Amino acid sequence: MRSAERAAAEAARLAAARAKRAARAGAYDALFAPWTLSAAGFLVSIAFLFQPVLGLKALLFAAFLAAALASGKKVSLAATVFVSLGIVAANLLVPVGKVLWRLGPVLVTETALWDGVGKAVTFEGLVYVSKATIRPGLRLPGRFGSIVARAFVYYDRIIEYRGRLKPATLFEDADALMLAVWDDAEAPEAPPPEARPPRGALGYVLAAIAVAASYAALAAGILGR
Amino acid sequence: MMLSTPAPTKAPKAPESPEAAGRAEVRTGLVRPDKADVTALLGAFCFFLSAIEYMIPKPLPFMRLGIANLPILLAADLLPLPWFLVLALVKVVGMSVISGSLFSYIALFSLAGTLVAALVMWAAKRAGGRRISAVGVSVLGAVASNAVQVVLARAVVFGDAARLIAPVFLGMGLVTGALLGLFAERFTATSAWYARASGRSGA
Repeated sequence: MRSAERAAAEAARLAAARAKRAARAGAYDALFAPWTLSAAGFLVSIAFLFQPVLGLKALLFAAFLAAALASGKKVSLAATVFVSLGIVAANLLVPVGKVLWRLGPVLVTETALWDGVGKAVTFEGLVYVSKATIRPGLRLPGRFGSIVARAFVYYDRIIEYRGRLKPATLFEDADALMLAVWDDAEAPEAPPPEARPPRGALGYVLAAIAVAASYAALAAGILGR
Repeated sequence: MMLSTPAPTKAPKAPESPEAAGRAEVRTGLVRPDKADVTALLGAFCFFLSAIEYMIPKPLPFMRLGIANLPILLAADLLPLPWFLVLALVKVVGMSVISGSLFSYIALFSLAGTLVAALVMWAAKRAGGRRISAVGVSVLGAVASNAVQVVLARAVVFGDAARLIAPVFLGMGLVTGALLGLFAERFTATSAWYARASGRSGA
């Protein structure tokens, strides 16, 4: 009984977290147009990539993490820590620079350690800036964009497909899935851009500030080296 | 997708216009199918398989099993080279948009791995013809994809330590490539959809 109560409480907690994330995503999408965000994300990620000072890079990383949280995207700090530790550990396997400590057979060397930390911050920072600036509503232009959009329509059909995929009849079931998704009389056209009210100036201003701040940090990093 | 409910029988809709009738002919194999349509459908399956792969725990985000390359393997016989490369790009861009990783190293690994795998599979298919099986094509593509990702990992993430993960990563490519190849071989031999998409069936 207690375990059932605990499971129900856990389910309620997860549902509440999902609802909070959805509310944040709604507010975020009301503020920023997808193209403004992706353009800003592209520019900011370049400034971040070339930032030479680890402290400034870490500050930008924190800002990207906050933006990803504000955007309503799912953020796993445990995964970030795990991946970062993996990158740092891999870099420590090849000793470079002054020996700081010995952890059993592994030498912790200064250059290898900071290289690893820098690479981990860059790796995860780019993940978060992407999470914050690439929105599902983004529509790519041109013929290529229309094929991607058509693929998303098919993707929706696959998700909505209500058949089974059983191991014993995997090939027949997979074939049935392909036929069912394809066998509509209408080939899916690329959906029209979502009709959303135009965003106010605040979103554009915030995006411009983010880009300007990242390039100011880049300039400070280069000049201060 | 619901994997636990029985599949309802789906009544085909009647074509309502000459254009729709034309598309229906394509779908029943009376004329060769629209390449853009096949590309979009296979791209959608790349997204779907990628979403499944996303749920499988892995030590690093770019260390993938490569099951999302299955539609590309199937496309090697269905699409001419330009459309085949468009499919590879649709896969990378679409997956990056879905996962929100377009500006990250993950997208870079995906782009390099997918394009190299696609080109190697295409070349193997064209050079080998009937002498090379889907398993061979798939293994070559998977190993090439993983090899280029190890090179990238060395350059941007791991440094010299990348050589330590290389054997595991390349071995993984060998195994998953062989499994995907076996699946593709059986699927292409038995699939009614594949026969239609390749214009070989009037059914």
